[in-house]
Amino acid sequence: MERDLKISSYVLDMMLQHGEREYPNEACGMVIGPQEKKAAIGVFPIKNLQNELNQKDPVRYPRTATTAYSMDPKEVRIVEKEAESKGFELKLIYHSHPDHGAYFSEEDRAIACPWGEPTYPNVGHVVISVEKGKAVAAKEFYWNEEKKDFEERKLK
Amino acid sequence: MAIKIRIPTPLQKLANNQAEVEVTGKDVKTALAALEEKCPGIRDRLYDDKGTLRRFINFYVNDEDIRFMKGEETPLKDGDELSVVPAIAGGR
Repeated sequence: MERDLKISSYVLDMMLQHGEREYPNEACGMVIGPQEKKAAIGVFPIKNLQNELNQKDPVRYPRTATTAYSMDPKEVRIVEKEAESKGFELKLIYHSHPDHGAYFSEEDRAIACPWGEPTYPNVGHVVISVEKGKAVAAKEFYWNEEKKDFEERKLK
Repeated sequence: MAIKIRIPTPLQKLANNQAEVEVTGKDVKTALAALEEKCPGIRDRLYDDKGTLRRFINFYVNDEDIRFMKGEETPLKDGDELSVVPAIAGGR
């Protein structure tokens, strides 16, 4: 079945621009939309905690923000709570890959499915490739419950 | 000390489909051990094979991230809420 979540060019641009702003670090954020509707309309950039985690515990978190992201859970909760109170819900999680392609890495996949299945099965993952500071490609990876795997669609 | 543990949706099947489980414990470690008593099998989902808390599962005591407190030794008091939340994270 074709992916029917609507992502407007405005929403896509907001994500791409966020990826460019954070370059050479990975940007990350959430996109929400009305519950029961297949539209992603509100983009919320979220702080990438990866450098702080790496400084605090480099053994446990060997990567820095140039190759990894870890959303600030406090900001995530604020967005989730606000969204829910207004009849909205999470539709997309996005992050950028500085100087790397728009693919869903093994790491992305493993963390999205900590117990073999996705934590947010209805939420798509957008990955943005930012080459030398310019967002050049973006893809969405979304869960197919029948195939038990992620499928992709090209956004840019 | 009564502690409320908030269970994420994918693990609720191990917890009688409950979103919250009440246990007693003086710190995160003992509360999670008590959780395993009530919800057998859940420990393996929270700890890796080295016996440390999984890297991409976050734990909060009343909204405070235990990574920035005392980790598993973070003390708990009566009425505290311990939330188990998968991290939203990744990397190329």
